[in-house]
Amino acid sequence: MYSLEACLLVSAILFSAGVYGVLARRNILIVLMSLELMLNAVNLALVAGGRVMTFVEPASAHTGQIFALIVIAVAAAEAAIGLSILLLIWRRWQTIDLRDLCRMHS
Amino acid sequence: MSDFLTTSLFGASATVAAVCSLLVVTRRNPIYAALNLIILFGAMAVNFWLLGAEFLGFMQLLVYAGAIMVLYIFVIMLINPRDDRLPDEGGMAERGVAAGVAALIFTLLLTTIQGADLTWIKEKLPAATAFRESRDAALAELPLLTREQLIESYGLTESEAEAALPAAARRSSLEVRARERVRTDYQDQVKSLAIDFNTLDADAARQLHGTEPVFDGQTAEEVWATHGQTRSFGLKLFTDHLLVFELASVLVLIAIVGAVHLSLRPRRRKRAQAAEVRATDLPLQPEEATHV
Repeated sequence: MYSLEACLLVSAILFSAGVYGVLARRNILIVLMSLELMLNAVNLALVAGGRVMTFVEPASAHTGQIFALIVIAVAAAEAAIGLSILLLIWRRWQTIDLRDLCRMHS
Repeated sequence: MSDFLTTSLFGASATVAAVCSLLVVTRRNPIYAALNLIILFGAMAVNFWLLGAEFLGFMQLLVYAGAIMVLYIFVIMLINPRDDRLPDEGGMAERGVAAGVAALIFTLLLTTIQGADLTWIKEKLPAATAFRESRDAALAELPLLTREQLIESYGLTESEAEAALPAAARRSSLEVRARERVRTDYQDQVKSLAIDFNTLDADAARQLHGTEPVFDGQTAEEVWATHGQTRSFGLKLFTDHLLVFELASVLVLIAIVGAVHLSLRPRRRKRAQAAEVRATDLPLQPEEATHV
């Protein structure tokens, strides 16, 4: 029950939910949250795979966790930049609707 | 912790995470989505703890739930979108297409997970030892033809028997098939094993492979055992993975500078200039212009 396959399955469910959120939603905030969701799904797969690799090759202990930590740092950077851009958009156009941003080029 | 406890904790946190992920992407109000996302991050932290990543579990809570989500909630409250100003979500067709793509990606991931050949890992599981022993016993019971048998049963001369002995032909075809079946049975048995985190035994792994000492003459696993997981994690991070850590810190620094730059810019603008920009660039929702 508590196997590598189960962890990867949970990770796949979270990732697919994130993909749905990015594609279906028009609220920029929720699209950004879906991105965080996808990054977290990848983290779970990294940690679970790293745990198994610790068993197979003890010299590679913690490698999966270290990459998950880097992903957390990248997610923090992405959230900071994404939210600042969102604030700029809000100040300029008072919208958080992605469809309105499509009109920017015209 | 007992096997039952870890398994049920994993089941509970996985269920919470899956349900919350669906709630995050379907809530209309972003504040509900953000709260669901915080619950999801908590469940993921529990998952990390169960997987032996205590430090990462705490980082998950501190950075994700503590910092990133607070940032999101600040932004949601700062722009304070009223219900009537939330974007209209797409119709059923748009959602259907998105759900179709998501389902396609899920199916792809699922096929990859199920189709992946992990035999090389499963062969090292403690549960595979019994299968390996029974395979070796079965192989030992199957006789190898001796030189005398070759001469007596197959009518070879002595020199022909000598020449044939080292070759694969020294076994009868029945014997070869029997050996093949023993090997494939073993492969199937190993393939059917699940990589169960409850049975992963670090001691068994350490006996299989020696490791290089990383700190004070101790291996990472010994540091883990005597000083805790966080210390061995830090040793690994600041020795083997220092470059990627430094690159991440540069990335975060750039992100901080970028975020400050992006969000401070409008304040420096002169009021008249800003008003002009607003007046010209607001054709989307002109009735909102007084709101700024």
